[in-house]
Amino acid sequence: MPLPLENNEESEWLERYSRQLLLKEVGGAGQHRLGQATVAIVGTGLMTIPLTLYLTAAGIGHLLLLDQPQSTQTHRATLHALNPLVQTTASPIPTTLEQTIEQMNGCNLTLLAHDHAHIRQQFNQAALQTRHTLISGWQTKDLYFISTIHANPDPNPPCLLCTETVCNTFAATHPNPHPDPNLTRMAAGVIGSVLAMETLTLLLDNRTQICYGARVFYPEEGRYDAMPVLKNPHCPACSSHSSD
Amino acid sequence: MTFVRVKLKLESMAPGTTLRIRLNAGEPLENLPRSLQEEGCRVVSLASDGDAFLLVVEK
Ligand SMILES: [Zn+2]
Repeated sequence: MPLPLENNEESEWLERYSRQLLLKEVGGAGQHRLGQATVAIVGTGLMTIPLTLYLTAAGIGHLLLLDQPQSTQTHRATLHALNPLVQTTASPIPTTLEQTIEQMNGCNLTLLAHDHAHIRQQFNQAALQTRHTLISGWQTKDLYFISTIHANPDPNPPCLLCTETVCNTFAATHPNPHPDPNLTRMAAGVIGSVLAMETLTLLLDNRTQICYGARVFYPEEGRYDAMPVLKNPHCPACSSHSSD
Repeated sequence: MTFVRVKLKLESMAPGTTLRIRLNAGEPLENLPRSLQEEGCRVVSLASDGDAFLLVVEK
């Protein structure tokens, strides 16, 4: 049958995503994959603002915002205005490991942008048990870190606790004598954008750009460095989950 | 928008297969054959078809 076929819903979809559809990294198949994905975002800090805006504009099917629902209501309205084709749901953060595992099993990806250590470790434990990919961004002292715990290609990667231990030790031994609070806030936005890019790469290509460790971001210099991380054989979180 | 629509259709087609596209005169007729050639397609034919045009391309 000769093209083009006309259909209102399809036209809206084509119009909205036309620029992405032309990218070889996305195309029609990739756009459908994004539209079928459910991504959970844990936390409502500064870095989640650009993160959720980019993922909404890109056309992720369902964003699950895990934090206090009242704090995300206004932001959800903003996201809906940006792209009504994206469904957003606000929900409290699971309080038990079992609930966290259940939540993770219902999502394609979980993004951790929460600073509380016990919440981060709860999601780390759940990722270890489900072998789900866990993308994380956090601030320690004046530095920002990003990591992706991904079982592919390393079947037994260092966990988030292994990664955090290395990164946080680095931050403690590399203090910034003159931190600029404005740059630190802007850095949160940069990290949110990088987390969005990493999410899209993983969903489109099952490939991570932050494999084998983490990235450190220096707000003062606007510069990234690789932060190699090895699995800690005595890690209290992952040493008992080894697949060896 | 015609180009996006055609590119999506081509994505799901095997190399060597052909696609027939009905085009109106004007911008699509001027740009689409060239854009598809730049994408690596071969223009098999372009002929008038009633009040429009029929473009046949091979992926
Ligand atoms: Zn570990």
